[in-house]
Amino acid sequence: MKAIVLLLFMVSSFNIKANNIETVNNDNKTYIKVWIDGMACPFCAYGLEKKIKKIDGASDLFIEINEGYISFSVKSNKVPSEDDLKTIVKEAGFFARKIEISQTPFKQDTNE
Amino acid sequence: MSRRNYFLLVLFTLILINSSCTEDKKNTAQKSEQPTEWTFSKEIKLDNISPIGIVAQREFLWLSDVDNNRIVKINKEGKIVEEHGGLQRPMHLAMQGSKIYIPEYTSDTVKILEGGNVSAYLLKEEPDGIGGVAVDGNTVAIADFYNHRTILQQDDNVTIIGKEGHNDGELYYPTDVEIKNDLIYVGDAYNNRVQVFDFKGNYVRMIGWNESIKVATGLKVTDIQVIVADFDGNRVLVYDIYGKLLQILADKFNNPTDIEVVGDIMYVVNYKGNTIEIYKK
Repeated sequence: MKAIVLLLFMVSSFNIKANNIETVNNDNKTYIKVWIDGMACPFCAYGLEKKIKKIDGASDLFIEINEGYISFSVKSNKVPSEDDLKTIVKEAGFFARKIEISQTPFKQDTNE
Repeated sequence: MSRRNYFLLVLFTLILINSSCTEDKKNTAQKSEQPTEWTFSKEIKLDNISPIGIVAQREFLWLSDVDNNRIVKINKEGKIVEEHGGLQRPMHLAMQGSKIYIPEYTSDTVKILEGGNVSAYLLKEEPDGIGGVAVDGNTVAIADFYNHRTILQQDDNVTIIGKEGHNDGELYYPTDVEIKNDLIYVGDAYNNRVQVFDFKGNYVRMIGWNESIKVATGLKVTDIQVIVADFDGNRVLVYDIYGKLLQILADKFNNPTDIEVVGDIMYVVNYKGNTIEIYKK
């Protein structure tokens, strides 16, 4: 009986640690990648970056002009809606072709 | 005076007038024969610099390195001899005396670099995305990209030039500005042209419409020429100051963004080519 209780305690304890590790790894961030059509000019690309920076908590900005996307992270409890993102992109003078949302980073590099 | 002497006097006068006219014509011909064609000279390769704006300082060139948030001073071989980081997407530069004016696209501020120290120029009107800055005496002009206008600031006085649109006097995403001989020249990027205004904001003329410029990203105005960088067209177009096309340069460019002219030498910034293309007269 004691052995069973000890085993249950160990398993329970392992789960708590595992959950903590997962939380630390995710850092409560959500990662967003927006694919843009026609983002060749640096004034346009960095204009989009400027608008994205105004999103509450936006960080880890990475902009890839040649491939035409911008990625960034926000706090997981402050993820903007796709409609909001499309509006921001439109204000920057573009059309959002595709929006990807992930719980893990898209890329390690940053040019922020 | 005898009739004969009178005749000789008239004849002599006529010869003098004719001689004077011939001299004028010679002078005019000599002026028009001055070389106006730019010819390719050489290329400066850049290493890890994404250049947008350019100004010359003696034998050196200052470039805004937008991707790396800095401005760099290079020698004629392209080697960086000085740099200033911590900027926020610096774009088209301007120079007055020993001061370099740096527009920060992201922070909407203009910084001044002088003698290694950076200070801020106080703007009276809030822009949204400063693409370029020009300085002439106490006048500072700013290309206000997202507000589709140019801000002219003279001490405490502010004049707003242009508004969003496509007609004469209206702007659409301006990226660069120059001041020359009391006129404001605006790189009206996505209207595919250069527009010229006076200091009161009155529309004066348009340049470049007939050449189907794709994006008029940067420009340089000299005493006799207006030179335009066509970013998507991969061309540099040379006009006289009234907008008459003189020359089109191509083949050497991969998204040109800006131009600097020092005497008979022209430097063209090649953004994606990561080079400076040098032309001479």
